[in-house]
Amino acid sequence: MIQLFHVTKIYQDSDAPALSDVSLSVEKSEFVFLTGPSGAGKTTLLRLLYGADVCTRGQILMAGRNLQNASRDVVTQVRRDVGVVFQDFKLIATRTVFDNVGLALEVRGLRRVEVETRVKAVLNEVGLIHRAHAMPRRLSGGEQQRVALARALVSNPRILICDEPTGNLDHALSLEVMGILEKAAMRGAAVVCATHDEGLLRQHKHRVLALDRGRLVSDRRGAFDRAADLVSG
Amino acid sequence: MRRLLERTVRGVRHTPGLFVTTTAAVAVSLVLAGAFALASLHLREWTASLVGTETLVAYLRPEVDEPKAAEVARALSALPRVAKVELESPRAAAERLKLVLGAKDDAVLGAALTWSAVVSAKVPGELPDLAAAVQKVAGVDEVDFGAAVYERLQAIERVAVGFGIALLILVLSVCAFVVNIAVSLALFVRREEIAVQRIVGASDGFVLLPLLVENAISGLAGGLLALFVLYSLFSSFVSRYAGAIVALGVSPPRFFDGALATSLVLAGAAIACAGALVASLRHLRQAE
Repeated sequence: MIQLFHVTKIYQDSDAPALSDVSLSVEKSEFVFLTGPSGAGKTTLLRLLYGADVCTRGQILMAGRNLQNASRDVVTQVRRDVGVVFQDFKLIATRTVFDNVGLALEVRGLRRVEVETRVKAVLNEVGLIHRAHAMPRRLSGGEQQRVALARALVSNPRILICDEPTGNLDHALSLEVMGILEKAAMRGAAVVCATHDEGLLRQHKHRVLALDRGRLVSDRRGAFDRAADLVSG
Repeated sequence: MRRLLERTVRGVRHTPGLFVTTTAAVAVSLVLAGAFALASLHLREWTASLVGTETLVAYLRPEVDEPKAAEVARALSALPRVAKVELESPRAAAERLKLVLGAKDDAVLGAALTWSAVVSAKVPGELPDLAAAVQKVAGVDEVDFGAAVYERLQAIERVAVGFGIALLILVLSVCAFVVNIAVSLALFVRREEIAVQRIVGASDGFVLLPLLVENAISGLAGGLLALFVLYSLFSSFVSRYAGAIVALGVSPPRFFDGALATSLVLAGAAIACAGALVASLRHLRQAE
């Protein structure tokens, strides 16, 4: 579902690469944690995956589409296969919860009835149907994160990319969000979840990719003790 | 369509000040452009009126008698730019002059006069060329079409039109610039919303269309406002200077007909849309 071949990203204002020669692949239904210290290149990698940036060298295939030198239309198509969850939620302040979630379907040109049915279903799933007509500023951090999650899930994406989705949440809410992400993986989505949270890595036995100074330094499956151990190899 | 309108209305409610700015910029520039268009429409007509419209007088040689005058008239009628030729005998000319000047000795006057032909041009404004052609016809002695006055008025008209076009370009450029700035500000205010739209897979069209519709509405509103202001100014001008217009003997001023009024309003929408398109495309390219 996701394939990276020798991907390097060097930003214009920097000499050191943000990502250096990273190759990996993530299959359908696979749940992958992406970890590493701050500045390791996690966010850069995620930005490359949803087409917000272009890699300097290498190739990225997302659901069979090559993102290198892709036209704007191709990037748009790729984004319709990808759901993205940000740590800062990125909700539109002037839209209700319902409209924020529905936006992901609206851009695909779905009929109003279908949008309504699917938005209600996903809001039910994340436990926010009772807040459907609330504005984002009226919600708690946990609720806003679940709205962002609902927006990413509502289109049944083939790939789900999450940048520190539990970063602003307490433990109980983090577990809830993880449960929703794991369900998405079980339904067939490839999930890439960047996190610093060692507790999450310990509790959820998934494949873990560790980045350090732009390099992929570890690719392990299952249990481990400390994320720091992964980074050290 | 309903969703597009909803998104458009949401955009207007999000940045109402910028909507008003665009409308006002379009209205002001169209009032200036419309005033210039009205002035130039009338200037040409009134110039022709003031110099005796589209006729000239060809004085025939003293030796030309009635049969020869008729021949000359036929030759003049055959010229490509000529609409009509009317011959005037020396006696008729003397009678007319006698009425105008109050001359008593019509015998002396009649002896001094020759046959003449009043030649009407098919198209006003071609008198100098027509006069040159008439002058070459055998039997024609002298041609009078008020050349000095005509040329002076033509020069004034040329300067006025040149100045007007320069002013028009300047006004429309300033308008496009103001619209561009307003749309750029609107895009800046909405940049996070647009970024989210792009991330969830919105096409350029999805992002651009509400902005274009919003600016088209703004431009139409500006156009209608300009039309209203222009009509008010025009009515006030006509009522204030009605006496002077009648005294000059020129045709009464007319406002734009339906087609021109519609063009003015549509021009407002076009200017606003063009400004929005340029600003939006630039924003989308920079945002990626």
